[in-house]
Amino acid sequence: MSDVSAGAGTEEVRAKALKGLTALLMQRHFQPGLKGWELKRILGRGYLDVLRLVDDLASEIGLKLVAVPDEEDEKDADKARYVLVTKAPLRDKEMGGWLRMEEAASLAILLSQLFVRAGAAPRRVLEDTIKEKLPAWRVEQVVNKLVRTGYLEEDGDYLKVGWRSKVEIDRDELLTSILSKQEEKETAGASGE
Amino acid sequence: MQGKSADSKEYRARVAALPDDLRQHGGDPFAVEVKPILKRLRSDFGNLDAGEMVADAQAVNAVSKIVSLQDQWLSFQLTSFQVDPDLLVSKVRATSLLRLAESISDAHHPISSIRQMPTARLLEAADYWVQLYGWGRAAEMGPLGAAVVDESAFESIRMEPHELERRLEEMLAAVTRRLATGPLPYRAFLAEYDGATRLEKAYLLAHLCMRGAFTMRYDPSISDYVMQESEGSVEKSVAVSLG
Repeated sequence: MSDVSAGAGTEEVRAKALKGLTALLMQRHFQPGLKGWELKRILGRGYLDVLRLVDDLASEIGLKLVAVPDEEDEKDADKARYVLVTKAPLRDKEMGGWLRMEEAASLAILLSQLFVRAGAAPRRVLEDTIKEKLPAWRVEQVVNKLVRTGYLEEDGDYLKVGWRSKVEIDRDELLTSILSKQEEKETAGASGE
Repeated sequence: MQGKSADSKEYRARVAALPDDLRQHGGDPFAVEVKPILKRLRSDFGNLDAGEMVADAQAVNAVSKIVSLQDQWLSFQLTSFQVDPDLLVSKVRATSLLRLAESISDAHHPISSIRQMPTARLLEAADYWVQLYGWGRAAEMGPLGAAVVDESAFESIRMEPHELERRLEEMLAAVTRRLATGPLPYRAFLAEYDGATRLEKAYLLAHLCMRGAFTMRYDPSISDYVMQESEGSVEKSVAVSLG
């Protein structure tokens, strides 16, 4: 008898998790994903436990659930935003391609600088690094596009990590990649390539 | 005496603004020395008037926030992968644009979601656009009729889900027949109807377009939007279960 009720309970939680996964997949607002309080309304008070199961279900289809804490109140789970992203980085150029090569490179430069400066830095200082590689007029265009698309956020004369970068870009993977690629180049140079 | 009081209030206001400043500009919270601030706040605490007491409380609250930020900063430094900023700048300078672009794709986990507008939002949109003077009143479409701005006109589009599906099926069949001969100008199509019927047809078209039954695109040769078949025919676009 207890087994039956336990099974029914498991089924109920699984049904809730599927409901949560569907809700997270459907983009209703300008920003994707849902806030914790929205998920609480859909899944009930124990939504954080259900979200663990949602992550397991998402994992089966190559996705993972990420939480972006609210800037004002980082500890409040209800205020955090929960978003589904691809589990592995999307390296296939055919499937990405919404940023041009120089835009992606500029984003790498800007984010790497911001990540080691606790998330914010003067715009002029950040742009100076890109200006060593791109003409000034193009730098302004690129930065404006990255702000418009949510990868960066403007705060007066400062630039901050935007909501989209917080969701989509893995800080440690980016820094590791920049540092390791440089090493590869140095190795290639040393071998006389 | 008054100058001293103003100084003390201004100092407290400056201390109160520190946490927001640190948070916004990402400064190192350990650059703020908490002990000297507390020492100065305590030094003239006994001479404060009521207004200054409020400023003092805000300043002390700010100091506690700075300590909290220092705690977070320390956790961040201990748990995250640490890189020397100067080393990173030199690495970035020496790396080509192509390789930097590759670094983004190495760390990029794009958002996975399906843009879907709920029926309630489409109803809101219909209500909003009808309130705007231009919608449905363009000269080539003919008059919309005063009845449409009336609330009763919206009753016809606030339908039960099964009724909505039935009407969508009818509409899809009608549009599919017309689209088989080529793109169909959106406004010319709506101009065939009047009043509340035009509103209903536009609402159903929005649903069908959202579901991918057809695509809308701007045709500069006629300076208007046209409806056209989605990639493949409408029949081929229907989702099938793989299970």
